Amino acid sequence: MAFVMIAMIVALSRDADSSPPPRAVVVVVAKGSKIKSLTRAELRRCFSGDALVVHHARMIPFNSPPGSAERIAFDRFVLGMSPDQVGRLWVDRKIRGQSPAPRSLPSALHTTKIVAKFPSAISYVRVDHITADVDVVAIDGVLPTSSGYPILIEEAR
Amino acid sequence: MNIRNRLLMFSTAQLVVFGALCAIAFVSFERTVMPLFDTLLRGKAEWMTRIVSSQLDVALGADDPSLIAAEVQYVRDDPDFRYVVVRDADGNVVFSRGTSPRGELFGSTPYAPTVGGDEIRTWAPVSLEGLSLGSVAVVFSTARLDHIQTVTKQVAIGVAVLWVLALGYSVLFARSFVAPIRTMMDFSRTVANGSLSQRLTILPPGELGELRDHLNGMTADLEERERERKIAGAKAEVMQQELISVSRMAGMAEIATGVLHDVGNVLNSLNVSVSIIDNAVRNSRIAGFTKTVDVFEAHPGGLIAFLATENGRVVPGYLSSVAKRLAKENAQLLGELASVTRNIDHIKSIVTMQQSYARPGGFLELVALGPLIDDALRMGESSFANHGIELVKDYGDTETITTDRHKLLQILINVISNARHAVKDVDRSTRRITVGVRASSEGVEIAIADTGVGIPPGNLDKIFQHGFTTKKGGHGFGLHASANTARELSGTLSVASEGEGAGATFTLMLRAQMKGHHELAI
Ligand SMILES: Nc1ncnc2c1ncn2[C@@H]1O[C@H](COP(=O)(O)OP(=O)(O)OP(=O)(O)O)[C@@H](O)[C@H]1O
Ligand SMILES: [Mg+2]
Repeated sequence: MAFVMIAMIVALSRDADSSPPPRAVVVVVAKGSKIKSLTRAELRRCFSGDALVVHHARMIPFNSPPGSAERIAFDRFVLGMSPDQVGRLWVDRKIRGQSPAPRSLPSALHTTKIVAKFPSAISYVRVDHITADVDVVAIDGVLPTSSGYPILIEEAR
Repeated sequence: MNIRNRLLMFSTAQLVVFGALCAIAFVSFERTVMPLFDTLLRGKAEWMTRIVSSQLDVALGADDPSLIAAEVQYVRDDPDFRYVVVRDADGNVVFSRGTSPRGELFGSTPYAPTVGGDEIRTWAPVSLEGLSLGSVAVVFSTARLDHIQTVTKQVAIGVAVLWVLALGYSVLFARSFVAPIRTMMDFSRTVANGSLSQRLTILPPGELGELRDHLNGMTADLEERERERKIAGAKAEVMQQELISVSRMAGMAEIATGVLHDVGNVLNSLNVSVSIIDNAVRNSRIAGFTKTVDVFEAHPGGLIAFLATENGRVVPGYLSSVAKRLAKENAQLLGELASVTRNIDHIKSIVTMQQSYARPGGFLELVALGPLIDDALRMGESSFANHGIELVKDYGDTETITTDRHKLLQILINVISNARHAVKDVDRSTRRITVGVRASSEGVEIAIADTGVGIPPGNLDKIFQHGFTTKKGGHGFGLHASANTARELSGTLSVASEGEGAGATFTLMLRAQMKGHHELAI
């Protein structure tokens, strides 16, 4: 099924009308994961330090490096915060002794490799960094290929 | 303790202290610093493994060999690094660098360092957010630590060897240092015992060499001085002998002078007596009487027949006058003979007295001053008359005094003789000698004043000096001897004169304590 999806995405990418915008940031899990779609609320829980258990497995989130375009876009949509607000959030949680921010991985390559390796890992990459080892998760049922996909890197002004 | 042993003690004490300090330093280094190094090395192994294991998570999780290599690089940069190996979750080696050691690297407790041989091993699991990724093992060499330990031991052995060498040197040094001092000590002992010709020949270095030169110099000085002293001593000996004989001769001369002087004084009056006797005998009536007797015997019929003649009738009267004259002559001669006897007696006593020159005191007797002074005057009586000298006697308080008659007589004769000489050289009209005796608070004073030439003030204190005289043929002895004799009689002889031409007065003071003392002293 994932294969079909990838094939579909690849097919879509060739089609100018239905290809996802290159600014899209996609949520990825290991290939063959049972997770196909997550709500924004679930994502927020998972990436703001609270445990997210899906299908009896606790998800382990990984971030992009702070300040990267995909991180900013992801945080703005999922957490609803600017980079400064995010920074304060984690400092605040640290002071309260709550769980820390998810680990940041140095590059998209590392992200896809690690996510591919561990079924419970979840992260996000720019759409053009997707590899064959990972599956893309729909946000609130919307796939990047569909119009109205919510996580987009803001255009440089 | 001698110098050598003290030096040895001193240097040995220093060496012992030094050795003890080194031993303490060594032991404390072994006990504290070495374990500290060991702990530090173990600690380093542990925390480096911990750090590398925590940093490897992403690299291992992403199977990124270049990132793995980058993450372990700082372990490899450590100077003690020997080997590092990274395994994945399945135990497959994904990365290794360095020299692989033998044996199992991941057997023991994770993080705990294991020391064996010349290395320290540690290993740690690698995980990412609870996901087990594999493990990493690091091996460090203990060679540096071992090297420190080896060097420390070598230094300790070196110090010990040096210590023994220093001890040996200090023994040798003490010996070589003390040997010249000992030689010098022996040398100074020899010199002190009088061997001044000795010299030090040893060649000690530095200040000791200077000391040797000083010692040699001092000994040479001593030798030179000793030589000079001996020469001077010999000279002094000769001079002393000469001085002794000279003074003996001088003493004899003085005694002889004294005897001759005093005897000379007496001989004057002896001469006078002898010439009186000579005159008396020469002009004696005996000669006329002998002629008369010859006339009697030449008459025919002898003396009886002559008596019967006219001329014979005057014979009895003549005989009676002759007898009277002869008796008178006899008396005069007896008187002069008595004077001669007295003078000879005095000469005898002068000689006796001078023979006992050095003896204090003499024969003490009660002496009536008046007759004694008369005796003294009489010894030159004819001279007074011959030179028209007027003699005034003023024995107001004629005293009896216990004294040595002959010594007193000698003083008086000297002073009177001087007075006579003094007045002889002035105008006839003023030639007078006054002799006075009076009792004073202290005793008796005999004053002999003359109207003679007088004494210039400059000479007043010189006239009692031995040898001072203003007379031709004088000896300058009389007053010197008289003053000494006066002192022997516990008296004084003093002089007063108004100056040249004003005459002089000599006063002999005899202390009263002599009065009434009857004692015999020899
Ligand atoms: N009565 C006197 N009047 C003046 N001068 C005197 C008188 N008596 C002594 N003198 C002086 O003192 C000197 C020393 O006297 P002293 O009797 O010692 O020696 P001297 O009479 O000269 O010799 P000598 O030893 O033979 O008596 C004399 O030479 C004389 O000048
Ligand atoms: Mg005289």
